[in-house]
Amino acid sequence: MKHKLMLGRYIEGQSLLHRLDPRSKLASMLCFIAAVFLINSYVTLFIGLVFTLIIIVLTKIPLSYYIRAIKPLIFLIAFITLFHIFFHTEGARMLKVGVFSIYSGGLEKGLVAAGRMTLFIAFAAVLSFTTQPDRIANALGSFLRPLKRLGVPVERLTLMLSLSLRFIPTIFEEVERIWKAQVSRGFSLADQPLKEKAKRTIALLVPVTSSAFRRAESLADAMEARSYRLGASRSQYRQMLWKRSDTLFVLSFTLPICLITLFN
Amino acid sequence: MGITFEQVSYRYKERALKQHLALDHIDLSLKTNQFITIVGAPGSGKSTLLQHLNGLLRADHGTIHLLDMIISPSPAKLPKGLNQRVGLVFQYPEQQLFKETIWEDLLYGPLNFNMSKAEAELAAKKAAEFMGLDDLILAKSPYQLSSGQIRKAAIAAVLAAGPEIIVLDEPTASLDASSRLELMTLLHRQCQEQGRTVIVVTHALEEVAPFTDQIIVMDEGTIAFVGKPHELVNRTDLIDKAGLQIPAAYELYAALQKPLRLSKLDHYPSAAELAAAIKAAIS
Repeated sequence: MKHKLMLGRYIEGQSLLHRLDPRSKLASMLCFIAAVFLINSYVTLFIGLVFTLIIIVLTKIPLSYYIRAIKPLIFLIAFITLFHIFFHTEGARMLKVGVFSIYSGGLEKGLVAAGRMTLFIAFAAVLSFTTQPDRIANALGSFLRPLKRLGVPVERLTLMLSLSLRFIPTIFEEVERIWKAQVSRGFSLADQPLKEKAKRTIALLVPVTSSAFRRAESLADAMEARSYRLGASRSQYRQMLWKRSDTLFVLSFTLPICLITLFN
Repeated sequence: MGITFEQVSYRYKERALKQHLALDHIDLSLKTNQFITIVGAPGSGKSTLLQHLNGLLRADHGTIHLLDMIISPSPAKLPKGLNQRVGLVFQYPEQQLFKETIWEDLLYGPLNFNMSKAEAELAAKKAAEFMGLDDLILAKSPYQLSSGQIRKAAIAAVLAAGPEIIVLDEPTASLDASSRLELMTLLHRQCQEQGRTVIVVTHALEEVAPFTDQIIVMDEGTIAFVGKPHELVNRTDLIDKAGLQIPAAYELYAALQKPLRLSKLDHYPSAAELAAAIKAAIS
């Protein structure tokens, strides 16, 4: 596979972001989503962009990884941008193409929407690149714990979440392996008509799905063999430790929120 | 015609930020129509090297000459027919079979390589027969077979396409002792009768040594040794590094060599051959 999906992968590292408590990263992610929702002009978009770039630099992961994470979604972003550009009629008319007119307001809305989307993906990538999936699930579990009193099956939810997060890279690997098995015996997507390409891609889905079910089954067996029981009290392999740097990290996200509100 | 690596390097990119070179400027020249064995500690680059032969991995630098084909680093196109001429049997054969039945899996390769239906069925039948797979097994799903049968099916699926070079990644894992010997004998026959080149990665020197023409030891992405198996046996440093074990029969022979005044070995003998030599010296 030439374009390996990057979003959702964990990338080993020793940076500050890697060492932070997963809870602080998740909390600041929520802050960041709030901040990004507030963005609605070039200036505020610029603030969001600068802040994201600072975070990206702190992860010590090359920018090219983030670009590869955003790439698969580029068409969606382009679609949203064009939608805004063609259907907003605010501001001064800048250009007329056939029945469509482009207005400065529409252009700004479109570009800002594209920027917002990009920032979302970039920050989701920051979270996934620097945090192992099971730690994200742990963090979410500890956030949801208060809901237990209200009768929400928190443990079941976190287990489901951590298992599905755990399986993201496994399924990628599975796809890659079956792809390799097919390629090594003469399978090729190049110089095939589009219909055949679609057919062959679907042919990849069948073995991947069946092997995913098999894996799920053997995982259930393995958990049962070790007497896994929902609701049993258990300790964690990696204790979550909230440090001062975590408090500082979350607090630092008030800065973009304040700045963006101020300049709106 | 041969297999030549010129300054081939490869680094895995996705897994982590800073990866050491999986292949570190490899220079290697091998003759075809031989039984070639690759050994080395886990992570020394054996599987990476194998996957380069089939074009599954593309070198970052360097060129590979394979038969009359030249594999250059991407973005250059892979030579036509590479997949057909070089068959790769994966380390985990259950990952290689993906069709609903073994029979369909055997047909997959030949049909992809533009054989007619009749030709493909003939090739698949021949390969199944060679690996000892009967109709009962052929009708089953890969998930219904034992690991030994899966292994055989995976090899048959590769043989069916009629490759000139067969590359196998630890083919004897998950096989019982007698099947191991049987498999190595079958592969050796492929080499001698069909004029094919067989390249095997393994950890068990004992299984392959009697059949091997050339043995390659890999160490941290480099080639540490190329030569005949009996030349390797004296290199204890390499043997330890690669995590190999000198076959017991050979050690016995070496220990008895002086007291019994046995002749020096110029090839790697089978256990039976050693026993005969010792017997002759005693009587």
